[in-house]
Amino acid sequence: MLRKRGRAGLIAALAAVIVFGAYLGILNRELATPVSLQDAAYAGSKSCLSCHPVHYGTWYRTFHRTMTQDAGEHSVLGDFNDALYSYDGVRSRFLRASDGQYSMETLGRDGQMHRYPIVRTVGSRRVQQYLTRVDGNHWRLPLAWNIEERRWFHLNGGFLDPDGSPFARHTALWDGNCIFCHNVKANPRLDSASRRFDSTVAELGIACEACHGPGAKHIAANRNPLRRYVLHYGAKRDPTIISPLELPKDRQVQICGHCHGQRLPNPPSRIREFVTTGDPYTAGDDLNRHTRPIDIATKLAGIDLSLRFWRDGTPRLTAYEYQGLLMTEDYRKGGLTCISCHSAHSGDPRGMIAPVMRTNAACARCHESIVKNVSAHTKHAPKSSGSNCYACHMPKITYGLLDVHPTHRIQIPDPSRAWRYDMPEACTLCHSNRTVRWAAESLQLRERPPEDADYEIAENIRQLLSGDVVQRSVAVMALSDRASYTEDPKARLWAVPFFLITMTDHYPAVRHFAWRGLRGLTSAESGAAALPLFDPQAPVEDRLEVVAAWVAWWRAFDKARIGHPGAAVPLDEDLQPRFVVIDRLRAKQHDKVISIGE
Amino acid sequence: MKRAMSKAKKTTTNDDLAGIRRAHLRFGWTEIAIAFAAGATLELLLGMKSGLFADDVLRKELWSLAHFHAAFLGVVNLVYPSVVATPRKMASRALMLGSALLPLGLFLGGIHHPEGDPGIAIWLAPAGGVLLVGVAVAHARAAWRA
Repeated sequence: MLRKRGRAGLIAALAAVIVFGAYLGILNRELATPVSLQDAAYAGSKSCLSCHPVHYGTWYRTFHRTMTQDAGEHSVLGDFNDALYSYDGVRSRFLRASDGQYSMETLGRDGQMHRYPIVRTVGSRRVQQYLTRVDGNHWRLPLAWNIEERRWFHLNGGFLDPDGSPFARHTALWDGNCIFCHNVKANPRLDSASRRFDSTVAELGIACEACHGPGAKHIAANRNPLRRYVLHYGAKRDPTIISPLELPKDRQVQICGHCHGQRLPNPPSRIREFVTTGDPYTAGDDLNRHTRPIDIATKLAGIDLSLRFWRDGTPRLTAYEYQGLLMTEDYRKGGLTCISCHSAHSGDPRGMIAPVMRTNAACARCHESIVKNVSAHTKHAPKSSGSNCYACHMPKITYGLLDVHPTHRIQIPDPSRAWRYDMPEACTLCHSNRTVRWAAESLQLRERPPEDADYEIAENIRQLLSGDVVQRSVAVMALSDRASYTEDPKARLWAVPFFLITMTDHYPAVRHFAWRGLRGLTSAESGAAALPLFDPQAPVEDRLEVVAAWVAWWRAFDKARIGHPGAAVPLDEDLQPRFVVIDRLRAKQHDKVISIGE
Repeated sequence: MKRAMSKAKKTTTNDDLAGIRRAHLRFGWTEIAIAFAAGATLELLLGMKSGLFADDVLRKELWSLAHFHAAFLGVVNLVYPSVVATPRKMASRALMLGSALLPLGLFLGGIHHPEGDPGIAIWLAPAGGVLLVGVAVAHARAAWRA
């Protein structure tokens, strides 16, 4: 009897093993079969939480999540307590009703004052913009909240628009443009006949499925615990979801490039398809099948896109990081991708980068011998900013909303770019009191700048005075950057006259940088705290009054301990501007209005 | 019913019964001792805000469940010989094995685990659970037939 039972048990166990083995075989075959995600449904980030709590949590704290939000107490950062803000003669009001409804009273595109209910917010890090809904369409309103400085400003001062630009220049339709990059799987659903949008998104903001593709098939397949354990402990990857880390490098960077690389439909005539049936790109696809990144050679009727690039083709605006990377040798010949340095799930949400990746350690993984003996490579002290890889290979030459950022075209520093392409170059951004000739001689370049009196001026000052709006922005930010040839703020105070001159610029964005630099550099100096504050978008007479007060302060300031920056900087012995030189250079400013396209 | 009883008598002698009681007593107290010690350790980890326990939600849940199940099943083992008139060797062994596997699977599954799922050792827990359900069903059947 017992023997019989034992035999039966053995047979049952064997049968179980065979069934289990066969099932594993089926599972393995299923995992090896590619799955098309084109037709998969989007499930939303909340459905990822139960299986991926760590990844959900690390994404949740990012500014990606809060890129676009429904307006509410949790999302609105601006001052809506009946706050007032005047710009260009228009007094705008920001209100919150007792039912919690936020609204903005300002000038509309029709030239009339309107009270616009706020329905969505865009951005949560530096700037928060606001959307209203008129006749079913979402419109971006022209006033935004500067989060860091806690003040309202007009978008003409954030984008690169000169004084006198129309008030409603940036009152723009959101459904047909911004929607594509600030949300998951956008579909503007334009009705061509009525010219109305009925836009939908899989999820507001940049959520899980923006980078990992639609999740419904993945969720359905992984309700099976055995499948999950085969994936956890086996070598196979799950074909029902995109893991950017496992993609080839071009597909990997395209996921970021989808938003961090401005693009046009490929061919441009497909724009109708984009706005009527939605963005065809799904993470993991070949982005080039759908769009083409804008570069210096891209032509578009009515807009000079080449102005968005330095003359060597390097992007000079943010949201072109993808283009910068594609031009980088480390990407083209090496294995560098966006996630070599950045991470959507770790590090500092500002920049989405781990603190260690802000140091030379980021480069050491591929260039170990150079980083180990960095001084021999840089000829700068090992701990100085001159030995920081980023300072020379990714200098801050890219304009982004209210800031200047490192370029993502990683290059060997070359002072000749200054005269060949009339663009900033790394050496003289830090050594802001030196000429580009000095830089060329220091690096023992064969080439020298043309024999022109302008190149006898410190290069950063030359570009600050005679350059276009992006050059001036980059130069004035470099003057106040702590990563300078001297970390002693006292020694850099010679820059004060240049900040004051730049505060009279005809671009509010440039004035904003100049004021930021001046405030930062003089915050510890006696008497500076009592001086009037500067609003870069205030009426001209108010601004000049503030500048005059600061000029008087500088005239009286004890400059004995500052030291003259050298003959290449047009300042006299008392560190007062030499206007003969300065005015000559300023007369050369050649501004063409740059359409940022955001 | 009579047939069932006589069958039980055939397979379980008095010596066997004494052995089963002794085994459950030893197993039960040992499991309770381990569960109490583990409980005290978990409370200590919680008191010290140890990241090892407090920061990993899944581990916290699994280890708490392991502690609870070990204590509960220890008690079940202690009372088992007193509430079952004629314990059978196979049921007794299944109960002890199930009582060990279930909390062990929960504990090991929480030590090192992939995101969102317990470690692979968690499969011991359902195996233990199946044994415990089997024992319970067998005794429930016997109780209804008595």
